[in-house]
Amino acid sequence: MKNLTTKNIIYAVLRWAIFLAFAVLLVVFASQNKISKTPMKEVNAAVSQSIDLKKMQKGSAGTFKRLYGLDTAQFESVALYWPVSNMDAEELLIVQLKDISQQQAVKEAIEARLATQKKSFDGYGVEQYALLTESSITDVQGNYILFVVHKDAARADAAFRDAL
Amino acid sequence: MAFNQLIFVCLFLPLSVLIYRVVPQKAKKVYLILVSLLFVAWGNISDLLYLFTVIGFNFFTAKQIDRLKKDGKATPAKFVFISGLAVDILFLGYFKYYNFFRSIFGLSNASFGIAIPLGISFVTFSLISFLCDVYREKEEVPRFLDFVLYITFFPKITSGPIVSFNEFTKMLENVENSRQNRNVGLEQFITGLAKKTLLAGNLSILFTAVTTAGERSTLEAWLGALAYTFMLYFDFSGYSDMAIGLGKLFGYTMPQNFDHPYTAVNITDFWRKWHISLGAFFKNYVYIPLGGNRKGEKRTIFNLFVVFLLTGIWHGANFTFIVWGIYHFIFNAADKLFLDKAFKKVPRVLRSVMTFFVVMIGWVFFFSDSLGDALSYLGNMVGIGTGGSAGGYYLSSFLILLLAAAFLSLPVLRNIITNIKRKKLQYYFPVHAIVLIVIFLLCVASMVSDTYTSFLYAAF
Repeated sequence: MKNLTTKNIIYAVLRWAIFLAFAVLLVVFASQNKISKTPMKEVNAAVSQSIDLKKMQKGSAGTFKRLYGLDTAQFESVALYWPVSNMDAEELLIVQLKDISQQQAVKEAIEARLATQKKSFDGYGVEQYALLTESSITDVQGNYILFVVHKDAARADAAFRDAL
Repeated sequence: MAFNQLIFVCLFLPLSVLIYRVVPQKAKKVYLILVSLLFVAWGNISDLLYLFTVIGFNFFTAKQIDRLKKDGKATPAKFVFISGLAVDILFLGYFKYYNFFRSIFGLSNASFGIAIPLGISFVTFSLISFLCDVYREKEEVPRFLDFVLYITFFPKITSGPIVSFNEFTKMLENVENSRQNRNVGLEQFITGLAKKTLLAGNLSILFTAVTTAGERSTLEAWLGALAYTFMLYFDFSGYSDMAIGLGKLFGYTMPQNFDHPYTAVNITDFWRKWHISLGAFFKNYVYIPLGGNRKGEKRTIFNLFVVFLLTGIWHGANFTFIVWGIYHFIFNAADKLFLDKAFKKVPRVLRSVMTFFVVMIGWVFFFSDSLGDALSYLGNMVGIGTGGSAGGYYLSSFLILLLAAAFLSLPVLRNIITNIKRKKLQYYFPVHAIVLIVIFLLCVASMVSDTYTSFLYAAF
């Protein structure tokens, strides 16, 4: 009987220890993945004013679908600026996610886009290739994701983080 | 990873089945668990964290219940059982409904820390079934590995079929790694893949075109609803076929999840044929414990209300699903009270057609983003607020697909194939094999050329 009681205590301790460990992890992860309430309009304005967008044009839902293979309707909001000329590689994308589970899909789409661009300029567009390899930043901050290819990419990223 | 992705069909599946065949009998279970964990982690590694937590928590809960019962302590055992259920439901509520409640109070979405775990609704039901079966002493506390396999078994983890723990222990006792099982499994997997990629995939083009248009005519609205009705059926029954087929490839026989639901003669009959494993779960773990139909007519109707309300809520955190659940409750209750008797003399075909339309109207709530959208769409179907002029174009472009979908949702083809099989014709098997290979190649071609579309039920 005593043995059974001891086992009961062990089982109770184990199950609640597992539950608490998971709850603590959720709190820690949640604090690292904060949801920003800043509207896209403000984030977009802050980032787009921090760098020169002359070589870029505003992209539509169709452009987003074509370049990244994603549907704008899946997300809370999307802002895209893409090269006016196909001889340029500068690009700016800000995605406001509906749920952080979308992070992975957007990151993969950005990686695929970057790889395609690198392939396009490899061999003949030395400056563009250097921009893509050395001056591109992908920054995931909770429900916002920034992708920027620009000589002042670091400045855009700083503005992005400040705006959130 | 989803069953209709090239990487799954061309790499993960063949490799996992081939290796399974050479793995020693004693190690097969461990191998299946590892493959299942890899399948889960492929999409999002943080899903494993949730899985390990619920597996550990529920296993020790079951152990404690068992010990307390053996110790003659019924009340503490009941308390442990209820606390176990509460934690499982708490996790589901946190990940699936927390932001829904926040939105009701005008609050913005909160961060969960990790992504919503894969198949959380289905995993939660498996856990509830496990705790209930152990608490009711229908099953012994299993060996740890058996329990881990029950929860993680990759063919069912994303979207079912919901296998009760009681059923799974029977499956474990009857694992049969035979050539016949593999053949049947492969056939069912390819059938499911074809339903998803060739039928549901193409029907989604019509549905998307209709629902994303700024305005739509009455004809367009009906065509869109019709497209969704068939799309959802082929999407989900396709998924279920693939899951059951996969189970067979590893020697496990899961229950069928669909039985030509659009031939149902009333809504009660529809729920005997649609998502059968969900209906069985609610019947065994909610309806019967509440008293079923043993406590008089009023209580039966109340129990039905609870079941359909939960069915609606389970499908998603949106008022549209709650309304959809209540809509089905009304027809179920009406069947019980008077409708079934009133229509008894109406020809079976006519009753099936009427039921089909009732179900189709219900899907409008199911696919709409909000109640306002649903009412607006239903308005379009009766000529209110209409516009657009592409109805004729859609009809001529998709008529053959819709007719094919209607035909294939009937059991006619299945009956023909069964009859041919029975006759054991000399050339049946080679012809059958060639047909399956051709269908498989068409599916692969479709997967290569089209953009990947997820299973609709993966969202639930």
